[in-house]
Amino acid sequence: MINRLELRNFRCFQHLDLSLKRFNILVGESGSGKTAFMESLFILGGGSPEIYFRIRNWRGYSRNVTFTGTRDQYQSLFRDLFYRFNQEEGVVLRSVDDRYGSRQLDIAYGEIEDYGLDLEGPSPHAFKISPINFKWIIDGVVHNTSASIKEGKFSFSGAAPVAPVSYYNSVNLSVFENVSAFSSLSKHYRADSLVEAIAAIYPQVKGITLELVSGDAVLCADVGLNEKVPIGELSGGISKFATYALGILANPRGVVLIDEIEDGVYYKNMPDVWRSLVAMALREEVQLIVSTHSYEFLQSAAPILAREEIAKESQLLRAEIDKDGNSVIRKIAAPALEAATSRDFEVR
Amino acid sequence: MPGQTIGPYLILGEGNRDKLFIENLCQNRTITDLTVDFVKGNDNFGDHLTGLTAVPDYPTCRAILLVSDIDESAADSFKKIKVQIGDAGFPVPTSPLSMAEKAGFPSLAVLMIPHPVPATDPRGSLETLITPAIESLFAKQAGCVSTMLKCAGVMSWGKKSSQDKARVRCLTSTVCEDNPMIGLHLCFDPKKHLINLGHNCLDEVALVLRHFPAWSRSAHKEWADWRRINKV
Repeated sequence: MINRLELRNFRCFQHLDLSLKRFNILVGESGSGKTAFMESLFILGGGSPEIYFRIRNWRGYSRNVTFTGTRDQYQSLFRDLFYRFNQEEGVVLRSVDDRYGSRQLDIAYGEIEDYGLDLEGPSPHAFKISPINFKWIIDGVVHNTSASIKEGKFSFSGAAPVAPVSYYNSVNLSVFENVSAFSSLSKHYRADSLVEAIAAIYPQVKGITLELVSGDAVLCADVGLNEKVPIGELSGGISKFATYALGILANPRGVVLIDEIEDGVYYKNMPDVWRSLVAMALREEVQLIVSTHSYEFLQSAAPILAREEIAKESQLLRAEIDKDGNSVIRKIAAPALEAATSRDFEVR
Repeated sequence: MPGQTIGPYLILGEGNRDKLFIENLCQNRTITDLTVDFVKGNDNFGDHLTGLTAVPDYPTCRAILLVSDIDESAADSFKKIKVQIGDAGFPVPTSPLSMAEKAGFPSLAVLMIPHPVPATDPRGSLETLITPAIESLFAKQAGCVSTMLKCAGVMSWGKKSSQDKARVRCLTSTVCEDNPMIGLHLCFDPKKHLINLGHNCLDEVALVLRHFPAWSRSAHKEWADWRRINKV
């Protein structure tokens, strides 16, 4: 479990030093830094600059990066990583995990002399750029990686051991990851735990299996019809819950990040969905960090988190903009969240 | 829709009628800069305070005044509130109208009503406080209600606060032909002319409310000291 997270010069955070708990619910208005906070954990858990391009793609940028050969263009690819786009000062992300120890990622441009680039093309020219380096320091061991350009294409060199961090958002609900996670569970005779979790909330689901549909392996549900139905066709809510449950069950002692957890969940199911995710996370020793805009979700989650046995392991995190325009995160204890939401106080 | 009004100087009453009384008194006396709310019963001061810490505007709150009924024992009622304040982690005042402070929290004081405590009987509630302000407008009906309460045995009830509640209920019923069931929370509406909010029985409460922001910012933690020094 990540006990502490420190960010420097990352996106909207000039400096953040925050203690985390087993269960963390993140709220805040748009632009306050919620997504940046989640992304910091995901990037830090990665092992190559490639992870940044995944996030960039989720933020709406094209997967295809066309490199025209200017230093400005190269640096513009990464500038949103840096606080107020100040690329002179490096980014530092650091976590302390009670099981996996400390993990730090330094992101900075190398010395300009380090790298020379000759682009071959219709109008060849030569110039020098400073390649961006992602340096992971894991329990004191340095792993240098970088994103360089070869023959007009990005190439990533070096790799660090990745941390068990899964990140789910509206555009990252990968069928492949679900299939892979389910297969892993099934191989260890643990697929029933997923079925039980789903059926407890959605009793129409009586079984889950992997089936080939048009040549692709797909999770399919037995819902009592004469044919199994791909989960994605069944319901957005069931599909998402299955994804989150798989993320927890197949990622023991890991970290699961869920952006806008309420998305697709029928309001009456919210307490059951959250109760089930919490129970699975406790059993698998998984840390949950979820963001939400939904007051109904907060009202559903608060009494569960305020239960005596987990209240000390739970907190609300509210991303706010301080008077200087910096993103900060305020921590609120679970009993205060429960007291507030039971009185209809606005806490978001 | 969820929401919570919080301001630099927050007054918390027990119920909605306390809130409406304080708001209308402030309006009548041109007392500004206060935010008034209620906690839904005197068992809920602690949970309400705990919940406030989760509200985005909570850091803007500088001082909180809890307003609660004495009921049958000032000591017991105050102790009950003190325990709740302490459990919520807030600064705990040593006595009513004493300002408590603690780093990272708003200053906090408690006003027990009736205020000032009547010399004849140190018990009562909001109804005890406002009875003279109603009776002054309806002297004839007040006499009849007194007679009726005696005759009906209400004045032999053990609870002073219950006696005063019965008195106010009877009095407002006798003067509200259109709605004899009128609730106390509706009586404070100035358009109804049921209570004289300018009556001198409310002067001391109004004084505390008017000067609460200045008192909370001062070095004098006891209201009596602050008042003496500032010649109020």
